[in-house]
Amino acid sequence: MKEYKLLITGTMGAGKTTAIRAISDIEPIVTDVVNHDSSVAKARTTVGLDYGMLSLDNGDRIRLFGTPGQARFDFLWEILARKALGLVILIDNSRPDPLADLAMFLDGFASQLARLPCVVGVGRLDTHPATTLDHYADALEARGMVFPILTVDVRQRADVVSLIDTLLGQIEAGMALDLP
Amino acid sequence: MELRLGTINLEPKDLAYVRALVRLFAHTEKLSWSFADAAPYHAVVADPGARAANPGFFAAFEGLVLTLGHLPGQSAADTVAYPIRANQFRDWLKLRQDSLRELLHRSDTPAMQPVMEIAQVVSTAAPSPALVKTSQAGRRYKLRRWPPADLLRGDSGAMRMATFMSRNALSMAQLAALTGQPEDTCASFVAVLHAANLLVEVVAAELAPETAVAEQAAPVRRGLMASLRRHLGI
Repeated sequence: MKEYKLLITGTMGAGKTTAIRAISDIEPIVTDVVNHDSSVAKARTTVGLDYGMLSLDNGDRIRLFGTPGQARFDFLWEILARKALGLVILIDNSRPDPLADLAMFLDGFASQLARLPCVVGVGRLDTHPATTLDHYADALEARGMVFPILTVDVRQRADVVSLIDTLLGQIEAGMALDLP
Repeated sequence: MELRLGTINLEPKDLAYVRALVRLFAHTEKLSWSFADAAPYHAVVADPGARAANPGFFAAFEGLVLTLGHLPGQSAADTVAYPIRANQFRDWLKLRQDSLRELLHRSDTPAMQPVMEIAQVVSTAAPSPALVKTSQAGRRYKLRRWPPADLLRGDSGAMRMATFMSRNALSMAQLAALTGQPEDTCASFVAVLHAANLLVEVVAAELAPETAVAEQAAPVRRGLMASLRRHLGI
């Protein structure tokens, strides 16, 4: 049996816990606590990390980690990213400056993202369309990065599965050159 | 009824782009247009030079000729400026498809005749799909930017091809093998990306050294990916 891990990161309220709950085989172990940040309309939020798991038919396990969303926990991001298969960045488009949020995670995971497969999921785009998917593509291009960018509603399991499927495509592409 | 779209004197890159977009929209938008290498045509896409040289000739077929680039005095409705935007081209195809169908339903209107005549007097230099595919053989492409949303339009096949090319420089054969898409579909999509200046071509010597490590791990990882997809019901 082998164990692997996938990371899901994002700002407070972006839906990391919900995304893990959508696909995990076990009830996620959460470390949510009462939110005292008055700028965020959310009663509870992740301050440590969330944990879920997928048990595969060959006995392997995929551990799902939701990282703490606040930048002050960025020391944990690097630790969690070690030996991870890939990273999902969840963006909440309803926040005041979602492009700055993306930049924060790109900076926080900068040393890993040169090799770590990554996909960006943008939530609440339907109700907050001012920042478009193309704006995110522009922001990534300015850093010389190209990652898939998808709209996502983490309450919908199909959306979360699609996000993971896209991440798997990124991983597969990294081992593609033994093909004809 | 299938509608035939031809081209007049387009640059090879524009020709490849138009051809690829027509194929893409036939799939994603269910448009009735198909790209035709030879006459007769129901409508054509023309180079501005050809139009400028024969203004009277083209004026007789107003509404059925889309000109790339801007010509003074020409209706903006039948012009797509450079760089060619996929959504504008799609909108023009939709509009002309609707108007042609309406005309065809009037039995006393010889709606198709004028454009067929254009097709017979104006030669085109469209390379065959086989030629386009051959010209891309052996080349590897990587995305320089994630494609605009109006190009992908949520199409799962296009998203998958873009995902693979966002991570690694791939040949057409590799892209087809990884995505399960036919090589022709991959070639069309690559032509669209190429024309939109979204690709970089990578030669073998420039490939990253970690590729060798990735290749060694590939069989194990592929099994893992397949198992994970099964588990998620993909």
